[in-house]
Amino acid sequence: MIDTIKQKISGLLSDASVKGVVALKTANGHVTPCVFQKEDDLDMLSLGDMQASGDTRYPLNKVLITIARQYPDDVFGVLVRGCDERGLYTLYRLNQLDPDKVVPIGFCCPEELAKACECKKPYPDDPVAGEKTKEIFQNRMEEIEGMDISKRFSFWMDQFSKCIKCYGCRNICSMCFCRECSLECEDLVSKGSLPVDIPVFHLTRAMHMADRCIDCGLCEEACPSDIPLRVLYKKTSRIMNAEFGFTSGIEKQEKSPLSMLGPAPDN
Amino acid sequence: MLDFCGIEKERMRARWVSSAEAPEFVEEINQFINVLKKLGPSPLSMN
Repeated sequence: MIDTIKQKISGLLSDASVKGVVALKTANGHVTPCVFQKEDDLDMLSLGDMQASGDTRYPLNKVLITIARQYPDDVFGVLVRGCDERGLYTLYRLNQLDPDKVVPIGFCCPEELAKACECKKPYPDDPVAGEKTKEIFQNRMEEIEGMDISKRFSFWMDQFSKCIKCYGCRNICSMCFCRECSLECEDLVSKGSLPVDIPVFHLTRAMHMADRCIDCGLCEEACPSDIPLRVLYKKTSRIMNAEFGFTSGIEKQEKSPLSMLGPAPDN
Repeated sequence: MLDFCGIEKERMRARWVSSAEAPEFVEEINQFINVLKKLGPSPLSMN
């Protein structure tokens, strides 16, 4: 798979259709994000596979946003898995990236990885390499919905109170691109004290994820306290889907119902 | 979302009332007070 991707990137770089390609490289035994600009460097290309497939993940879209803001006129390629592509579509929709300036290089995740990630679409629409595997259904949300209300309350409060307010969930999230963040607004979240304001901190983030979260799971992977954040955002996404038939990142051109005035669109 | 986190969803209410509709506003608030009295203190206040 990696050779097919190398060829693709090599082609893009040699005919200068992109200025660079945002991907991963292995250097000194570590996997790290890298902008490839020379074909010779492609020996170091990595898909984020250390011990197992896709066990080392980075929000490459977030790296791309940073670069695109500095070089708005240049075209960049970016390595995308299914989750990253959902992120790209959402970032196009939110005007953070210009689809004409981005060349996605997509590849499918193998079944074992799709299972480990509980991925709802483990493949991009137009993959360069790999075979499309079927989506995985996750039922953690139903487990919590099945509890009675007081149990649910104590479950979440126990989880939230583990928070060390490291902002890891926000910092890793490609959808968190705002220059000013509500979670740093002192009227909502008090500064310099622990435990964090619960449930305000986590529910504020959950509300902001409503039409954005693409369910990539990076927040939950990043959380040092193992708070099941993804389940929380799944719930907001589920509400968006039930009320408006909208799922973030699945359709390239789709607008968010939260950005429209008037009756709900029929999608 | 509140319900999902174990907080009764009746504790939150959003209504549109014009500034010219004082009686409606009073009625709404009184109703809401009754609802909240029945529910008792918020689980959050006991933490």
